[in-house]
Amino acid sequence: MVKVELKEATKYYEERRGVEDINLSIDDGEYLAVLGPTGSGKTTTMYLLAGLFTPSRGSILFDDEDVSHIPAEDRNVGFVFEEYNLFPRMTVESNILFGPIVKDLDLIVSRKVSRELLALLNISGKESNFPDEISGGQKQRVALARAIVSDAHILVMDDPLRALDAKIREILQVELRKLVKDLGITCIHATHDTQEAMRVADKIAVFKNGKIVQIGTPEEVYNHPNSLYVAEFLGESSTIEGKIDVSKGEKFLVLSDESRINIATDLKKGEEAIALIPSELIDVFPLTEKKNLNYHNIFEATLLDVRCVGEFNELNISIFGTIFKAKDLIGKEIPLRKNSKVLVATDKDDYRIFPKKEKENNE
Amino acid sequence: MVSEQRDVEVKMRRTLLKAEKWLSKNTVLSFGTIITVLIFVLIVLGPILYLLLQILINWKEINTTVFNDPILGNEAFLMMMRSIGLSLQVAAVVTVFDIIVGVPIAWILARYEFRGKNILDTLVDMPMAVPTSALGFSIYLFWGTNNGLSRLFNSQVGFVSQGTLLIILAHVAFTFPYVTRSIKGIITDLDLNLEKAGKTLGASPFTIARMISLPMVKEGLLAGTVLAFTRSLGETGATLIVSGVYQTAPVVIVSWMKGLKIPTTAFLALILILISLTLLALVRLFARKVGLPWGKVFPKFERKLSSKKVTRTRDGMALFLFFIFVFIPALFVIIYLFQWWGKSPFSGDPTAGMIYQVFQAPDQKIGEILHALGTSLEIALIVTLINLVIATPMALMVSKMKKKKVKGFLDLLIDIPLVIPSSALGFSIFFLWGSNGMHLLSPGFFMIIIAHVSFSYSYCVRPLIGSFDAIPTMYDEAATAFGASKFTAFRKVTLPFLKSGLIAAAIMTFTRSMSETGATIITMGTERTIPVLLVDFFEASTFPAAAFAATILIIISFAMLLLLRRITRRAKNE
Repeated sequence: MVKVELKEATKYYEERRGVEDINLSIDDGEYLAVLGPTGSGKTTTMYLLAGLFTPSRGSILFDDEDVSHIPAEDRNVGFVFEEYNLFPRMTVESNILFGPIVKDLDLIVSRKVSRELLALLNISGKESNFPDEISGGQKQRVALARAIVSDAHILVMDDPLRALDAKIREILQVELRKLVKDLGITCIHATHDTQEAMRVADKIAVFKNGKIVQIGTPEEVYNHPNSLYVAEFLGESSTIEGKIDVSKGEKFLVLSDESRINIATDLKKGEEAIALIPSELIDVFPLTEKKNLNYHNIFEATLLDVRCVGEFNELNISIFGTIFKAKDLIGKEIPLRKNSKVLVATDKDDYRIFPKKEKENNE
Repeated sequence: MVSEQRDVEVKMRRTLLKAEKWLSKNTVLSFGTIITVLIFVLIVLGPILYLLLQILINWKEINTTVFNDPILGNEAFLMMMRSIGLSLQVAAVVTVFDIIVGVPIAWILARYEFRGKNILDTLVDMPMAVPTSALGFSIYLFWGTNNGLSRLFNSQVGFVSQGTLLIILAHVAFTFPYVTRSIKGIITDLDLNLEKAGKTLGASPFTIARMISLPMVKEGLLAGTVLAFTRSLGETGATLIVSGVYQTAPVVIVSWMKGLKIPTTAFLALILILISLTLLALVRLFARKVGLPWGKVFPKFERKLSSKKVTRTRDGMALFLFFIFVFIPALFVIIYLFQWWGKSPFSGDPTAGMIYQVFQAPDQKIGEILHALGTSLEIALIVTLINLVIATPMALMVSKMKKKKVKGFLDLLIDIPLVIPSSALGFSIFFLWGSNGMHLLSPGFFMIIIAHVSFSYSYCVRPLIGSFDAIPTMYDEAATAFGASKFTAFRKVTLPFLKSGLIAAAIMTFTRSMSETGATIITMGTERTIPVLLVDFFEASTFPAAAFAATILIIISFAMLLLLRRITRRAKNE
């Protein structure tokens, strides 16, 4: 329907920075997730898109037309809020038909679309209920239907699933993506939850302190984070510092205790570096397995704690004088006991190597 | 010595705890409940019910005097109908004007941040605290004499003569704060996100205000409107001054009462009471259910209404109307006082000036003023104390009431003195306690007190219910769990929370009692309170003396208002 572009969009709140120099291009029908922690500028970006804020600088373009100064009521952006914001004194149906009524659309058509949407979202039969009579998940579905029925060309969602239970959240993530793709609508979805972003989006933009740090497909962003910040934000991981060394064409990270980890990196010899390893890429074995393993790095370590958290075990391992976190799939049936010696096995591609400068810059 | 003293202390504390334990027994508590209800009935409901009963019993006599007087025929009834008609018309116009001024001002106070907002907020509340007779007098001076507005235009006569228009101008001044007050808080608490949602769905600000915000403000607005309407319908003090020959119903009650036409007065009082009660009950029952007139939206037109130009004009208009129709006329009396300080500004005659009239003339007005002021303060103080004692248990009872229907009913009953005309209420008190009823009192100091306790009862109970509601019950429960009796828990845990609520209730009651005219005139006998004295001065055409009394009243009530705001604000911050 619509191609959305932000060009150096910037918004200041008096002295404070909301977002700065946001450059984004979302293709017609694309589903973009805006990912970042609280205060990283997600909501500001969403408000800029919807016209609830006007940019202090830069511009916002819909289909190459500058809409920066068009007020929210004329932008045709469907907005889904974190807190639903259903009108409390109106029934579900009146809520959904609010947009068509105030825009003077054909109510017969709108009513039909609304019925279909409600059926699609599995909440038929609630039309005459008031918002306080339905559950949180149903409220958010109504809010979604309301945004779409208002003849929106773009759907903007500001952490729409935040207030919901984990189970409902997962169900709605799937529903959301399916609906958006079926309608072919351009969609921007802000969230603080990596899994949610990866589950719903075609592309993810990672935000930090009001700026975009990386844009890419979920796989790109997850497997090739361009900064320590992105890597740390996207998944559970452990880090360790050292110096790069080269021998026999292989690169190593030399730790303060002289342990050498085989890694793959563009950094040159002698440079200080930080290695980050996602928890799920650390494999843990009993000492007896040593001969059967084929890894670039195998170290002995002490297993401090094993905790079952559902699909996997969470392991705390003491190694190189620090603590690594590992995830180990249940079902492997390897007898791992607390306070026992274990083997920690990793490949050289498992490590994401960043220059140490970056970390210092962050702090 | 020391240990002995401590022994006595311990003994006393034990006795106190024991006494409180006894007071906390269920039988004693239910006895207390019965007394609370009994006092309420005696002071508020009793007089009204007695009036109704007497009219039914003596219907024959009423029938004769009202409808079939041998000389006047049904002239009395016709006059009643004329006065009620005038009162209703005035109240209706006033209410419409109140909404036009009151709603935008509430919006400005709730939504905009600007310098002097606090001052505006206080100014808006002021007419509620200032005695209406002082307000009415000031407004009369401004509009109706050649001292005020017409002076600017060098005219020799007043701009607006006494009559319907002046009544409306006066009533707007003291009723519109009821509208502003009742919705300002609600607008402040409205969820702004809902408006954002409306915006993204394509609604213009006006459409949002009409379709989303208004339904949520509706009940408060209706409640405020009814208060404003009934206040206008029942006002006496200001109306006596500005009405001239046009008599509204409460003024007729006062003048008939002066002529001791008891049966006709009784009948008129009852009609007024019934009208007010019906309005109150209707609003309480249907406020939630009232739908809004149109669901249809006119996007283009409403968008035009939302433009900056229109909203700015609207805000400016509301403020302009407030200043020109409320603020300046209400305080004009102070300017007048300075104009007439030592001599007449027109003739230069010093005997027409305030100083001579109040302090030097042989009739010693200053003595009268001081005496009336003393009486007023004395009455207000006693009324406040009595009301605190009888209102606290009532407020506690309503706040703790679990049965919703009973609670709603009690809540409704408590509001009765708020809506019925105070002159009618005063008359019912006179009727029940005086020679026509229990024959316990004759008009005078004590009857004034009973009347004042009666009409200020709601002003005392309302804020207390609010305070009780705001106290979390968990502390109370925790205290009882530790073995404290209910009474001890109340004294130790609840009472400290209640302090600012009690003070607020006390000030409200005090100012209300200080400023009442209608009920006082009917129950006062030969006593004079200062608002009534002001009316007397006015009727004797000694305006400078009246201005002096009015200024004193304005200063006192303004100080009270500032005190009240201070206390409630501190309570909010805590």
